[in-house]
Amino acid sequence: MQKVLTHWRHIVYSFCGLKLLTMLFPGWGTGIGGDFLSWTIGANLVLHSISTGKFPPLSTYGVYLGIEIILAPFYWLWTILPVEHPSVNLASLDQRTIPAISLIFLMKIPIFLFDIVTLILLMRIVRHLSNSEQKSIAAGLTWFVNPYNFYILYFFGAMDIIPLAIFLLALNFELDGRWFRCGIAAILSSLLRIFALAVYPFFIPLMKTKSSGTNLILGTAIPVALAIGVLYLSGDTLATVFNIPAQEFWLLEFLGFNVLGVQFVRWSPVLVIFQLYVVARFWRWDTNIIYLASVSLLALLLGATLYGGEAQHFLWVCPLLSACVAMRPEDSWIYSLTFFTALISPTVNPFYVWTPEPIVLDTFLAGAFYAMKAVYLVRLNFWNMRSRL
Amino acid sequence: MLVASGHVPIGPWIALYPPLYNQTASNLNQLQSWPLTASLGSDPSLARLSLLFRLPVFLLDLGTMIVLFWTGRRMRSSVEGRLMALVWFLNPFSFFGVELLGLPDVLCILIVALSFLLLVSERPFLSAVAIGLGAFVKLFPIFLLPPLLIYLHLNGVRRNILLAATFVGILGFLGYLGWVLPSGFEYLVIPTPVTQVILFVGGIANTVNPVTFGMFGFYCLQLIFAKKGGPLPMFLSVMLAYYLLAAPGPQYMIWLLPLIAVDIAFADRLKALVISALLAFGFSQWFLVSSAFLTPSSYSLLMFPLGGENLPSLSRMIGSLLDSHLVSIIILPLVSSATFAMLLAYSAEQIRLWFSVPQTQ
Repeated sequence: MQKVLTHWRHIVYSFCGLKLLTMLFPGWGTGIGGDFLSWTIGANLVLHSISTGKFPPLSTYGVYLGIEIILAPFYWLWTILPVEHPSVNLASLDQRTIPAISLIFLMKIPIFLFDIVTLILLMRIVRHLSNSEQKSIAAGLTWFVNPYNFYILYFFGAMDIIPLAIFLLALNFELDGRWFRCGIAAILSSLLRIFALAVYPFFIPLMKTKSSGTNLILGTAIPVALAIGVLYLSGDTLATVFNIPAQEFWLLEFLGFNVLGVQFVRWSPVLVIFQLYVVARFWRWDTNIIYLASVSLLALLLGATLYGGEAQHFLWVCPLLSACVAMRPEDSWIYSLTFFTALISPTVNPFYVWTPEPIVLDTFLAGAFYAMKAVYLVRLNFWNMRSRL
Repeated sequence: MLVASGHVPIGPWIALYPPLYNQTASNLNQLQSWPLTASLGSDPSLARLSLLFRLPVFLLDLGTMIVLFWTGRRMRSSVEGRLMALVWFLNPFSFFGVELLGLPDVLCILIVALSFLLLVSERPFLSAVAIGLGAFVKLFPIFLLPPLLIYLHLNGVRRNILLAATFVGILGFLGYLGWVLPSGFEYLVIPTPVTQVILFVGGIANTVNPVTFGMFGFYCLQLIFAKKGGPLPMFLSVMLAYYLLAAPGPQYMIWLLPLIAVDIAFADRLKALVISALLAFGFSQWFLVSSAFLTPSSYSLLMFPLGGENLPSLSRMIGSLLDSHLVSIIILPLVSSATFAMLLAYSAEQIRLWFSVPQTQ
């Protein structure tokens, strides 16, 4: 293990090469299928809207707008390449042609860049918390060479890595005591994907001074005010925001399922709020943001059905769990088993097709993954509890 | 309306509205056709009718406040007594439930509060009598009989008092069955404004009844783990467990309110925060789901109409907000889930106290 840690740079470079090769030679599910195609089409439309002098309206692009604006320049790069530019759809983009390969490569560059940003930020967080270079490297490696992360990012093409990296930036600012910047980064991440919003109340135990709360609120309010301004400039209103859940029905799955059978009670908010109570009542006061963010997101994922149950959304806790395992290596078996069950969960497609009887194994594999997330949540809670309740 | 309907079990509740009970048939007809859309100021007879309806529950509300004041005074000092009384009386939850909606449950709530006062006054048998009386009127006080017996047992109360307490408690329960069952077994599983569904029976065939399973298990755990703590956490945790398992609706959280008022007087900062959040979320949930705010029915306990024609702009705005998808698909689930989570947290707070020495006496 010591030897592995000593050569960590070589390992990272090797994996950078492997990831670039995966992007350059699409195939075996690494091409333009699934969500990746939707992102690419969205980036094309956003670019078209901007090129006609109009800011893309929220009413058209919904919750995808933020990430698609980030992706649009990479799509633009493809449009200026001296290659053919067929219309973007599954049929026209044969993965063995130059236009398809170049488009896939360019559209996956943000994933690659933000993957590296995540690596750097994660290592910085762990170094700051543990004061150990080795633990920092261990966290970085468990993130960067993790087969689950590799699959979700480079095969599936999950763009969640963009808001996730911004979220890690917020955690870095929190560790530096820069609450204003933390607020800006956290709300930017939340505006791109709603996950980071669940972590907000968990910042409270870390606020040692009154000014930290004020700065966090200010940092949060300014991007929100700007976003509302842009919204009105583009011809939309707040009603557009309120109508998004009606258009994007899956957004409501974020609330989780009604496991309790009680009218209107949804599992996700119940778990997150109860976790907040557990933190306030039972946790040590010297805990850190990694544990707090981990439990809040794990509670959220446990509560949600499809939204949290889908394997790609587990990406949100992956760097945090890497940090946890680096800081507490004695429980690495939980980490390994969690990621093993994540890899064989029914929503991870390549492994899914290998199973002989998918319908029979579906519930078993999904159940195992769900159980491991729950175990991790309980374990993290016990790590942080005061000795006397 | 219950009287006029003629067939629903009324039992002891008939005594609650003597002025109405003695009215002529024509007045009963007027009561039945009470136009919900009418404003109270438009017809003096309606105002009188409204007063007749609300006067008994208002007096019971005042009675509960007085009992809570004496409870606080008995437990520590009149400062705590005043706090408990005000937490009950000035609470939007009780104001909305008792004075505005006219929930008759306040009768049982008063009896439960009285039972607790008698218990802290070291009159255990009378406390059990109050529980029996409460169970005779409406079912829920019977859930407090096991924790009362466990508390008495843990505190070394003599066996004959324990037996007598058990007897009067069960007698009250049998009394309840005595006035409900003649109207039919269905009133054990169908709710009416004055009877309560017995969730321990019925359910899906060939499965375990979850409320029976949950409450039996809870009582056993209480018997195993509860030490010589105060009576409050034992009573409150049982009511919370029943509420969580049975989930009878936000308005019935008012059953817990007198005990919560007692608890808040001794709560630390975090627990006070949990209680405040619970009441705030619970009230919001009730506000949003209550039939009093159904729009566009024109009927509103906010004292201004939310539907109809020629409405002021504020009415239109509130009405459209309450009718919007935003409320039904996002705000209501979030508020309801938050209420449930706070109930869980508050239950954890109470169960923690099983293991500690009494702080409230």
